Amino acid sequence: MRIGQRYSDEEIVSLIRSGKNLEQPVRHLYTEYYDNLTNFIRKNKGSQSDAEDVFQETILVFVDLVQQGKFRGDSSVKTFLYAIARNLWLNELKKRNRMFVQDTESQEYSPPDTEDLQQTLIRHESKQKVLQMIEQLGETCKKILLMYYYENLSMKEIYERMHYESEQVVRNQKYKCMKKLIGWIESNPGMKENVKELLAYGTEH
Amino acid sequence: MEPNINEQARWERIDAYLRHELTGNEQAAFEAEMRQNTALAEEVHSIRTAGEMARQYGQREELRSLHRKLTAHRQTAATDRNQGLRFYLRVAAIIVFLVVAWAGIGFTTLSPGSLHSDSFVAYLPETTRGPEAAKGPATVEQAMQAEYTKANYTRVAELYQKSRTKRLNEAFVAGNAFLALGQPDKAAACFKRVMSLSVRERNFDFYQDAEYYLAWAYLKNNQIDNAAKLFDKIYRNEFHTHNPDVGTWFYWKLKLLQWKKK
Repeated sequence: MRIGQRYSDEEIVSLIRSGKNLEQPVRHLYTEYYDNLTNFIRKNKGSQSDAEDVFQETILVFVDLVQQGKFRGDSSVKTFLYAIARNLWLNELKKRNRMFVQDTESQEYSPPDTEDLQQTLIRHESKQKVLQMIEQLGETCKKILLMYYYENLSMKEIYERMHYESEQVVRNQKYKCMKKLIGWIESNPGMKENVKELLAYGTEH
Repeated sequence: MEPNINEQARWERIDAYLRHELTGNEQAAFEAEMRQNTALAEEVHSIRTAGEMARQYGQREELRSLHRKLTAHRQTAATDRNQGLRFYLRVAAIIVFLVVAWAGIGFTTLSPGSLHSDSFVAYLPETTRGPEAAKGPATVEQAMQAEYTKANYTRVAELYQKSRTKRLNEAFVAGNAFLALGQPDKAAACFKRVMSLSVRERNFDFYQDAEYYLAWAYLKNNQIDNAAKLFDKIYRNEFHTHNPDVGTWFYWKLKLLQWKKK
């Protein structure tokens, strides 16, 4: 791993889009923007913990938007991250009924399509709730599905890693997990389309 | 959809299709089947959605884990920096304490006596020096030199007291003997005589030596200002015989002693 490697905005976007090794670009984002963004949150009545949470969420939103092809490079990565963090924090303050945001510092970083960004953040929040369904499947299902769909491991590899009695047992277990998950998605009218739209997998992947 | 294929096998085939694990022909056949079988197409859609959900959940978890790792790393780095800083501050504090303690001890113990024991360069008599040496071993000066070499300072003082001439060389040896005997006022008188005789006789062989030992006589007699004037003169004159004996460190200790006595 190239620790401390500096990347251009184009390289960051390209690496995130490829989705193969997120650690390098994300590490770069932490090195370059963590202090500035967390300071901004702390200056606006946020605690250190709030600042860390907002920064984490900012990175999640940014990676999502880049992978969905919604970051077109009209503004710099720094401007975009600042806008995301600012909006996330404004939303959080609204929830807490504390509207005061010392905004002078962030104005220069606000991209023109703030309304679009607000919509994106609302969708992002809904998506996080949808993804929680995986959490509810239980630890075993979560592990198997992540290994198969995220790490792209074969059934044989999962069987070897999880020390099941046979590969068939893994296949059966995975089938049960998927059955459960699909059952939940389809039990709710309109949920499937909603989930597909939220995941927006048709665009980039 | 094949009736003999159960749901699990069908879903595995759908996964293989979505992961591009089917051969070209199998892929084409599957796609043709999907076009004709809307239920199968629906199933593909459902599995793709659920799989994408798992993929995105996995990515989110990886990013969160990375966040924990990077923030922990930053905190550790900050802690290490603080610990490193604390260590260096402790070392610096110990050094400052030791320097202050050493300076304090040095200051409180600084006295004419301590300066004398640290820096005094005693006179070492030469066997032949000046025209007096040619007069043979029977002279008073040679007898005094012999006794001084044996560190018999009281005898040197007696010989000097008995000497009727109290010549320049005799006065110089006697001055050093009085210094060794702890009689700085008598030593000072001898060295002053050496200096005045040197001028009168135009023989400056012992003048600068006398000046140096007169300064020590003053210092031992607690006449610090008088001593400082002479040492200052020697310190500033790099051609003075005793300039190497009056170093900078000694010079500043003398200044400190002057300040302490005020």
